[in-house]
Amino acid sequence: MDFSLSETERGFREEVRSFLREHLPGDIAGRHARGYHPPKADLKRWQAILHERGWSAPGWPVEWGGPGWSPIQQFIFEDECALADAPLPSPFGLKLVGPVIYTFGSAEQKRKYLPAILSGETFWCQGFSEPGAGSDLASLQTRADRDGDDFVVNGRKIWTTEAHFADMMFCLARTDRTPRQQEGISFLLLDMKDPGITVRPIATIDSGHTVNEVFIDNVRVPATELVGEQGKGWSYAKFLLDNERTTNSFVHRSKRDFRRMMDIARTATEQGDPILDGEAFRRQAARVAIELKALEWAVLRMLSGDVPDPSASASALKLKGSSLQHQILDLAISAMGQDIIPFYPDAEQVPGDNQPFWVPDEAPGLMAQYLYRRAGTIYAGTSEVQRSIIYKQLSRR
Amino acid sequence: MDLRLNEQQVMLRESAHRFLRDEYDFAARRTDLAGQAPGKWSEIGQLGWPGAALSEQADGLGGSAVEHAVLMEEMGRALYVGPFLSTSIVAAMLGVLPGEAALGMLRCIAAGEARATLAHGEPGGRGFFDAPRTVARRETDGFTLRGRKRLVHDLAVADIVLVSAISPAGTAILLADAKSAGVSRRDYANIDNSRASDLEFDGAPAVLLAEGDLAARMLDEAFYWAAVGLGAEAVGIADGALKQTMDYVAVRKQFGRALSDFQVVQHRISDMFVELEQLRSLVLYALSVQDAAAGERRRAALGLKILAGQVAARIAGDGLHLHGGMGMTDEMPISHYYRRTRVLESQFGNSDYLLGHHARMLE
Repeated sequence: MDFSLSETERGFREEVRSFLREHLPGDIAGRHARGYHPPKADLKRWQAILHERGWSAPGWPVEWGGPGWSPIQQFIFEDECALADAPLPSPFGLKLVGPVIYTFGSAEQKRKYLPAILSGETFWCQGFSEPGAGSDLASLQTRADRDGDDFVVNGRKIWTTEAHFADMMFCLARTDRTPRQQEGISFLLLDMKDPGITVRPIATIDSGHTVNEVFIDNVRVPATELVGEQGKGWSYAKFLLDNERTTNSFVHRSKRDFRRMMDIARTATEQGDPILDGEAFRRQAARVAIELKALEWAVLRMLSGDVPDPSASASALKLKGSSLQHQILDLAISAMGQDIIPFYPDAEQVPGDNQPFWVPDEAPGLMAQYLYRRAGTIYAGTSEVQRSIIYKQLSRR
Repeated sequence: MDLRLNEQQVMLRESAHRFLRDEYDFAARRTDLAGQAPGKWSEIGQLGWPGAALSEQADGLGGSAVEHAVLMEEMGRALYVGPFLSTSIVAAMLGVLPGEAALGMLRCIAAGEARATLAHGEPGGRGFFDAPRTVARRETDGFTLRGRKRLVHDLAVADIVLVSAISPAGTAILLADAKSAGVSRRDYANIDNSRASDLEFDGAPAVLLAEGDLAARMLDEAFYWAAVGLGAEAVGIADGALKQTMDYVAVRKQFGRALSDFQVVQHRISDMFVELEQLRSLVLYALSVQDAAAGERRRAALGLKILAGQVAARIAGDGLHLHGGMGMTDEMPISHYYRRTRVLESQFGNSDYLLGHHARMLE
């Protein structure tokens, strides 16, 4: 075993740190730190900066424009980005559909889509969930019927994050009627500018706009936009979901959130004494700190290939990671006390005399973030789905 | 960074696994526990376990806390009862000391010739960080000890006994002979079948090994090796308990189907696995700070001991519950796993006690 970072890895950390110091725009970091969703302009500008350096797709192979980093380097990069309050680039192109295209896509699809994903010119959204198909994704009903050289797609997608600013959608649709639900599903790439697509915003618990409902009405998709083989979409989706699950420990963001929580608890006082000096609060924070350290090393173990069952471990990371981010924010909310009661609109988006007189620095955005993160135990496979995956894996051994 | 065991470490793990499986199964363990000196010490000595983590200068194999953890995990799985952890803790303490005397004792330990223990806890104390009240007094021809020590694991079989005390120079570590004049002693069994003794020193002779900062460093070392050892043992226990439970619910039928067909049972097992993954990972973190600054090392050791106690007790407790009435019986290993975790959780201070210390170091 070798626990220390190599000289190359330590040098790499320094390189990333100084890059962020010089190139991460202060206004973008500031907005992100407050906890509201980054606007599209921020995501685009930041990804262009990363792209210029060749760092926009840490996990991609060099062949397709990735930097060729080791898993530990990717870990270091994401860690430093989170600490510097860099927004997380939109995952739908870079983390989700990109790898599907370079693994299963045609030469034409690779040429057409990968460069624009890397540069951030094209934003993507994920057309998986439907009103009747959430955790039970394979029961989806959206249809794609072959008509000459095209598929004609009809259906309805829901919880589609960033659909309101995406250029493209990767979409699961039923191309064949088969007795097994998982068969007969195909993986298609849709142009969001098609007139048959209607995006309806869904107002969410945090009063923000992130997710949407998407109506797909007689949208013609050329057969060249089918990824891989017709009817094999489920296996590509599983590949994509496995990748997603592995990266859903939220560990970097949670480390940043933990520091922020500690700052809040040092600043907030009760009759002059910092909340952090309260014995009960400190003990709760210590418990969470221990769990967070364990989660971090669980991710490192995964990256090191030191887990007997990667699929079960990935689900464990998602379960623990999503529950820990709740716990950290719970502590932050608890330290804020009654300051979490008012609704603080994002002053940049909604200017005006709409805020309380007295606004603690850390308050705006915190509650919006807290509420929005409730989704962590729901999306990408609910905690119950993860538990079922784990049991299935364990009982196979 | 590479978190996989190297070739020698894999060999050590496999040899430990084989030995415990073949020579220390549940029935063999029962026979061993009925004897005078449980723990298969001569076999373990021949296998080189006591020296696996010791320096080559001390005739050890030149390993580190990683080897210690590898062995402790296997022992946890096998529900091993014996003086291995006590001896390893003393060896780590002696490793801090300069000089031939300490080296001589280490060589005896590495050769499997000596077992050792630390007498540190006292009546009324709650955990490892309570200052000792046993007094070491300088006499014309050496030191004498006055005071009481309790819960001294494996004392009855120990050849080397270290005692913590207070001296004019602060904390002191002394070498004592539990059989000498001025020592009264009571041996007893613990709920996990391990054995311990209480001691009363009334002017018993002792040899001073370290005082002040050096003694404090020895105790730091002791806690680190105890925490890493118990953390790894807890992984083995929890892993063993999880496997036994999965086997049991797969064959036990109720309402016409196997217990493992019920989703509520499946999810409970998955939660056990998730907690175990956390614990496994934190053992690695604690191992990674072996050579780090004292503060970080102390905090990592505290964190590991807290999580180990809680996770192991929870997993073994859930396992016991899923065994139904059978889990309550002495014939099922799960009841032994559970008893061991209750002791483990309390050793060196329970989670409540240690969390207070950890929380004070939080920054």
